[in-house]
Amino acid sequence: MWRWRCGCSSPGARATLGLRLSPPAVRADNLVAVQPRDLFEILMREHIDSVRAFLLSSLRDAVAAEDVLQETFLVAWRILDRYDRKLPFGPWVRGIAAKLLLNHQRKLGRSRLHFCDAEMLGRIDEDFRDLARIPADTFDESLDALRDCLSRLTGPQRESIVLHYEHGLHCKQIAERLGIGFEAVKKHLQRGRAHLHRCLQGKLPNEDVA
Amino acid sequence: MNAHDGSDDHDGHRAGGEMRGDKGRELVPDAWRAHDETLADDRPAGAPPVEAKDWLADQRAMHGLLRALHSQDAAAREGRVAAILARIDAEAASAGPRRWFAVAAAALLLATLGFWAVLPASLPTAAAAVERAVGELARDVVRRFRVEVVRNGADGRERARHEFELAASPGGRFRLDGRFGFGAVQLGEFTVGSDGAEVWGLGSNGTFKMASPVADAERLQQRLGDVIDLGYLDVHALVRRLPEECELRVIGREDGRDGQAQLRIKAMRRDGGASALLRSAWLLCDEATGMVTHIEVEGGAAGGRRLTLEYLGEKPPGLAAFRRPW
Repeated sequence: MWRWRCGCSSPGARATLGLRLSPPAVRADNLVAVQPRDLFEILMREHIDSVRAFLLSSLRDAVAAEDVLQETFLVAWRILDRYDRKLPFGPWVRGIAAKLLLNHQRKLGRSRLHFCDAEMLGRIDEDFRDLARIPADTFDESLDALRDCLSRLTGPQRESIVLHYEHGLHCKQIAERLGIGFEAVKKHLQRGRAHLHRCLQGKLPNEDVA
Repeated sequence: MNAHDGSDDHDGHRAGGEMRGDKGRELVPDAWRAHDETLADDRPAGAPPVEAKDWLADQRAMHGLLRALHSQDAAAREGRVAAILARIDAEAASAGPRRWFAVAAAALLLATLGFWAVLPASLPTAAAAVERAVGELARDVVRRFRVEVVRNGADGRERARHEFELAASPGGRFRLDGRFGFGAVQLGEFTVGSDGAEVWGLGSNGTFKMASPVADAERLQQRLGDVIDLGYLDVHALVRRLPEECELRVIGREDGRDGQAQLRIKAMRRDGGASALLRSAWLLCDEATGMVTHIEVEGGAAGGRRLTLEYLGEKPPGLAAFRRPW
């Protein structure tokens, strides 16, 4: 698997467009001369990965996440005139995704959707807002911070995280592989994720760590 | 990021808003952990306590980020963007020609940026990919699939989840092994099979033995508590029917677990029959072999049923017995 390094989000592409940019994120109010659909495409390319990650935090099923992701950006396009260009696009579009999750709870069912209420989704979004504060040009570059944190993780926490997320093993399979109990695997995964969260917090710019 | 409040299940001290033990472990009450549905194999635990929400939100955010990190794929990403833009353009086209200029400008923009260099090769049509998969499934070999069936009630809540292993060959031959339930009564291991002419079921403890002609398969299905629609198990026929009954659409490309490019295809039933056996389906087709590696089917009345078939590979010939063993 290779990493996405080219697209409208890249500085080179932005320079080609002749846009005035405010790194790390494209500010929509800087793109006044661009046609709405082009502006939308730029913003979508900038944020589609973070919205997908946001949805994957609540949807068990990657296929359902793809469906809601498409719907999110379609809704965003339809109501683009309501978007205040002075505000960042990411939280706005994730807000649409959150509303769709809440609206679709019954249709999707709890077997496909983790517990969701507005408060929980708002708190998850806070973590995504924080991630956006880590200096990076693209979401993929923001994920570099997570990659770095992951590389610092050791022992069974790292093994559990890698087996679960990279190799797609269930807790039971990990337990068999590592020769430990099912509950121990769950704790390793939860503690590993907590370590990663703390590590990312440590990467926030100084002014954000109050 | 969220700062946590909450009691601890061990002695610990608060550091940076979190509870940590002597070895730097993150310590939270077991009751909070029980509400972490990202790792729950059983039924969801319901609404979590308010004081656990920050911790759970952080866990969920990391869960989403880790899933995204390990499923990054440039081609699939382009496929997503292209699919959304296509739907936007389709809406615009149906609304009138007023956006044609914007579409042309976008095309010019893409050309200017040289996206041709990074875009995936043009996607084959969904019909061609499915036809290729049907051709591959028609080869006279035994294929293994992991099968998961999830049944939801009318309220959308999960009512049951079953896992089986399926061996399937063309000609309506299959053999399904797993744990079945007859209504509220759970039996032990159970096998259902078909040699193409006759379907049969056999309980490992000898409490159940039944066979009937394929045309009368529904009777056996009912006796099995309607746990699974036997029609799904003839994978060749299931995929072959898709172009006849559904609108097929290529959604994009993505990497499979073995790193091979997979084509993601969505099938939506044309008549939209709400209680149809197959309402919609997702397929992943290996572009190198043409084989369908993942099928997810939604259908059934009321809350519906979701069946997932994960391709595991071919089984050595002679090891799958499709005929009834008695």
